[in-house]
Amino acid sequence: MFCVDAALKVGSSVAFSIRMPAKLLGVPQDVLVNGTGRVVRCNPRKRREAVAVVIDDYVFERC
Amino acid sequence: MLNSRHNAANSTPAGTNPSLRLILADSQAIFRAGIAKILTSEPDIRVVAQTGDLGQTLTEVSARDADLLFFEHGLTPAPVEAVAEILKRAPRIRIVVLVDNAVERDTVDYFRRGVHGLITRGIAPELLVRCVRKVAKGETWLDNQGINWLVHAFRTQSAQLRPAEGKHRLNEKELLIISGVARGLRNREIAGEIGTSEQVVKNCLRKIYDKLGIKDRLELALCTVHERLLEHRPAVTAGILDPGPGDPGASPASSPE
Repeated sequence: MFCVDAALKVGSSVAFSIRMPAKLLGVPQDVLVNGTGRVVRCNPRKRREAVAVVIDDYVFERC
Repeated sequence: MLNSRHNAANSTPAGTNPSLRLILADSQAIFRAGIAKILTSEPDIRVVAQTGDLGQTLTEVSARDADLLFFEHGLTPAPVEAVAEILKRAPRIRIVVLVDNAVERDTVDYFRRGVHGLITRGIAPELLVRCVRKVAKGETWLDNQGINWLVHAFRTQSAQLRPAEGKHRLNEKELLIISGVARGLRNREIAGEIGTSEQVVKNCLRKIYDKLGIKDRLELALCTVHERLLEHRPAVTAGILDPGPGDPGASPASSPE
C-alpha cells in the first residue's frame, strides 16, 4: 500500500523505490529496494490516494 | 607421541596434606614440568595427572576427582568445545585456560562455557599459585582486559537479545540471516558469511517466514524495519558484500531460495 498525490488507474503498472534506514537494519548504509508492480486498488485517504499494488518484481540495491 | 601421564604420588612432596587436586593438560611437556614443579612445591597443591592431548585429558578428568584443570588452549583444534565436553564429564572441576596471547572472542567463549580462569604462559610463579588457590575457592581469575571484554560481551548480548525475546522469538542465527537478507545478500553469500550451508539458510528462512507470517525477502526486509528486529544489533560492516561487476543483487523470490 502506497500513498500518492494523484489517483492511479487499476491495472496500471508502477515502479517504486523503498529506502530502508540503515539504523533499523543494523547496516552501515541505507538499503534501497527498486521494484515494479500493478495497481489493484485505489482509494482516497486524507486528501491523498491510497494505492494497493501487487509487487511483480524487486531488486535489493547492495549497500 | 607423549607418554605424559604421571603418577600423582610422584608429584607430591612427602609429609604434606594436599587439599587441591590438580590436572595439567598441556601439549608442551617442558611447560607442564615447569608448572608442576612450581605447584608441587606448595604444600596444599597436588598435581594428580599430566596430559598431553585431549583424549588423555578427558580420561583423566573422568577418572580422577580433581578440583582444578589447567587446560592449554592449543591442546586441540576446538578448545572451547573441548571445555564443554570436560565440564560435561566432570561438572565440579574448575578450569583455568592457558593461552599464549589472550583473544577477546576466545576469552568470552571460554567464560560462557564455564571456565573460571584464564592465564598466559608468561604468568609469574607466585601469581600462578595465587590463581590456583583463588579458582579452587570458586573465584574467577582474569586480568583487567579480559574483564572488560566480558562486560562488553554482556552488554552487547543484552542488547542483541531484546528482539529475540519479543513476540517473534527469533534466535541469533535467524537474526544474522535476516541481516543478510536486508543487505541484499543471496542465500549462498549469507551461508558463507555465517559459516553454514546454503540449504541451512533456506531452511532457516522458511522458519523465519513462518514466525513472521511473511512470504518473501522484500516482506522480510520491510518487516525488519517495521518491527525494528535489528535495531539494537551492532552495524554489520561491508566485508564480502562488495558486488562484482554486473552483479544485479538479489533476485525476488516467493520461496526462500
